[in-house]
Amino acid sequence: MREPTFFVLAALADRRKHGYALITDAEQLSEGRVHLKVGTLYAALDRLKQQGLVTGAGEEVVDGRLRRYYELTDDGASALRAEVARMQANAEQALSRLRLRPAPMAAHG
Amino acid sequence: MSTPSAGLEAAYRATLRWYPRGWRVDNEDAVVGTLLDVADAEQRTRPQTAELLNLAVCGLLRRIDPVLPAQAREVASAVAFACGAALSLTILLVSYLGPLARQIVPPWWVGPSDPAGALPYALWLIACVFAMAGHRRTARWSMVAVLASVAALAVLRSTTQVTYSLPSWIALAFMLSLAVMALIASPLVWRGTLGVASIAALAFAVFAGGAAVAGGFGGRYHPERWVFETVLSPSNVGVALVFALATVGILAALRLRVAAAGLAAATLPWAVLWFAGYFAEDVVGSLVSAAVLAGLTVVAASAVALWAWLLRSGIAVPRRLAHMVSAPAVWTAPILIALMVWGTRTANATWTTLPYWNAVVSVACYGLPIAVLTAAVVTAWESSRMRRYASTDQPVPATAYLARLSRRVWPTLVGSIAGYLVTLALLVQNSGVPKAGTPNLLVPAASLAVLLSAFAFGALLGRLCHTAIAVPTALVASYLWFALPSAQGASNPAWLNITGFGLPQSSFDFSFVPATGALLAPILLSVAVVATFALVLFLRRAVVGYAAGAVLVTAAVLVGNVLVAGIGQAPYAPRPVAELVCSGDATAVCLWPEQDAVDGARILNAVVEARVQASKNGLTLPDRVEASSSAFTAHQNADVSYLTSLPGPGASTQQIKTAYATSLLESISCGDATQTADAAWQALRAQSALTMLVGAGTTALLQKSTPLFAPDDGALTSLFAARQALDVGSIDNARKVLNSWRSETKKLCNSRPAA
Repeated sequence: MREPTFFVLAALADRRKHGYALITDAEQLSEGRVHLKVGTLYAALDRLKQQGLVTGAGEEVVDGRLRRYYELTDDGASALRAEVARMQANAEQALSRLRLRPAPMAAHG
Repeated sequence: MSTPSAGLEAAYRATLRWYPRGWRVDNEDAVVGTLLDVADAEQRTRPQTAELLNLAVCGLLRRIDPVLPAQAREVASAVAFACGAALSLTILLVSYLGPLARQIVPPWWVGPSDPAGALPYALWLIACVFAMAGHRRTARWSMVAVLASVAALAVLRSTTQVTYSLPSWIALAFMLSLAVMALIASPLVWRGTLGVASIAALAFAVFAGGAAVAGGFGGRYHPERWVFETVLSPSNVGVALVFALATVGILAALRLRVAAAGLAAATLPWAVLWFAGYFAEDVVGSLVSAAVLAGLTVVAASAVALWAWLLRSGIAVPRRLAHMVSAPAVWTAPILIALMVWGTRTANATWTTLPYWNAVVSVACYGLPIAVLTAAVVTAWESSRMRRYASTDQPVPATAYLARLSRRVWPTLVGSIAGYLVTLALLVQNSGVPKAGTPNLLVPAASLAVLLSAFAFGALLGRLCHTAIAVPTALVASYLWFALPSAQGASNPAWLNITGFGLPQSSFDFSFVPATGALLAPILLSVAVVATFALVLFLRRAVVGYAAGAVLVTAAVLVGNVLVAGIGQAPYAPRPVAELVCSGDATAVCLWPEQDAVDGARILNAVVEARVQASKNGLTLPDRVEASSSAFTAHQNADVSYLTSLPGPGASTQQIKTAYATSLLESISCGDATQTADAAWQALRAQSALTMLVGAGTTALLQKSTPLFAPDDGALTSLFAARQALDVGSIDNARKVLNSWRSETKKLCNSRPAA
């Protein structure tokens, strides 16, 4: 799973969100690293919808602008969970190796 | 709503037109809403260029999606990127950096290679480095720079006279299409192709190995054009395309849609290379061919559309007509016969003066490519239709299938045999010379075997896939496989012989008879293909049949290679010298019986005249002259000069003298003196000198020569200039050129151990 895809799914994890909210959320979650362009976001959403990981969750009109909401499907949630578990396992592996590292000596001589 | 926001919205909506209409109906309002939200948050009232570019690219990709899904684009992009990397590395090393490192300043190369030509290749490798290092954006911009450098070189090429030192149009067209194909997916997939480095290394290793065997890089400089004219010659690329298309067909049949579509797209740049190389010699001809092809496509598509409309409209179509149209073998048979006869007449200008039986029998095979193409297409059509009916019915037993298929395609078989026989009858009737010997019946037998294998190939394709895939695949694959080596035979003689399309040339001259290897190799391959068809048909599990067939065909190709390699890759063998008939007193001229009967006196006179003229010019020539074939005679006998490549009966005195001069050159050399490029250049000059000394005009010779290499006199920048440098000018100069070539050749011959 690529980073933008991961953050779109992660942004949808808690509740349904519309396009702009997804862009700001992904930026926040990635600590400013991932700045999605609108074209790229909708391409990702189209792909995720096609894979059945995301689905439409209603629309509303605010200030004359259409907002379309998206939410995770059950498949989407388990895909995200699997990805997170994979990352977690990787992180834990690395951490356990770090724990095995001998404590730094105070000083030589 | 404020005015700036309305302007912004209009700009976004205009850009969204890049998306397909259906997508816009569903999504446009939501996307515009999000775009405006983003603009508000960034306190903008104007769109960003990057944003609009992103929308345009995403919209375009959305349009491509139905034809080429995202995953298939990634496959195509990765393949194109890897190919470009391998090619760039090879050309940079071989044509630009290698000669620099070794300080090779080729004295015979027309103009120095312009370093600007290396730009696209260098930029490609830079893109490669950035992609490997994970710098996605920089990698993409480097690839865009490749496009820009190709465009700049194209402008440079079309505005300067010095075109010999720049990359050819073929190279530019290929690099352009490769770069476009690489850019259709994210550079992330370039990094993903871990094979890139290994493919590049492998390609270079194979190339360097081949070059090392052929004499190494030390003494020779391989210009970029050399790479495109030999390694990537149209016939080699054509053969690769056949294999790629066959793989696409197999992937499609296995329902691996993404891989099939990706590979099909990846072959496009190679198709461009093939097309560009194939038609590079003749720009007007290529445009005419493209126009004719487009016209034919329009006519064919209109005919199909009209037929479909007629069937749907409720207008009563006569039953007999409907039956005819749905049975292609019936209406293609007469067209086939006409094309085979016409093809032989136009393709072989000397057909009315064919010297002997073997030649007549061989040349009648000229229509074979057309017959093979038709057979493969018609059989693929019928076979795939039967497959469709079979899927709704009970499975058809093998024998019943074979019987039904034969009932449908027999007119094509009969038509192609009739085409051969009619051509043969016309050739026999029109050659106004007595026939000698008996025809070698193995030639038509090999021809028939190849034809049968085309039926088997078409039937296999038809069993594998849908009509819409089977018929175009049969057309393209059989064209590339069978007809292309025939058209481009000189550059891939082994292929020509194994596929069977050396047959028309297997005996075109008095000096040759068909070579057994060139007859056995295609028969062997044909038997393997037919056996594959039989195995697939009669084995309980078709997969086993295909697997066994793959082994059989591979083995046949390998053995075929050995067979044709053994005969020096030529479809003919030398005729026994004992058959020569000699005449003349002081000058003895020995000719083949048919030559002697028809033209003996004229040839003798021309040769005597040439010898007199030569001795006036201070050139002493052997008293005995023998008709011979240059390819097989060692020409070791210093007391004999040989007459090679003598035109057919009725040649003019000038033509006979020119042939004599050309043959003299070969008689003097020690066999392989023309292997290096500068020796080839010197030999061309010597040939020009000899032609002048024996009193034959040099104009025709100079117009015919297209030297790839020429000495760098400082001003030699074009083909025209190279031809001018070939002209030896005066008799005195001709003598000097010849003497210097003779002494050089003698030195070269003496430096070799005797054979």
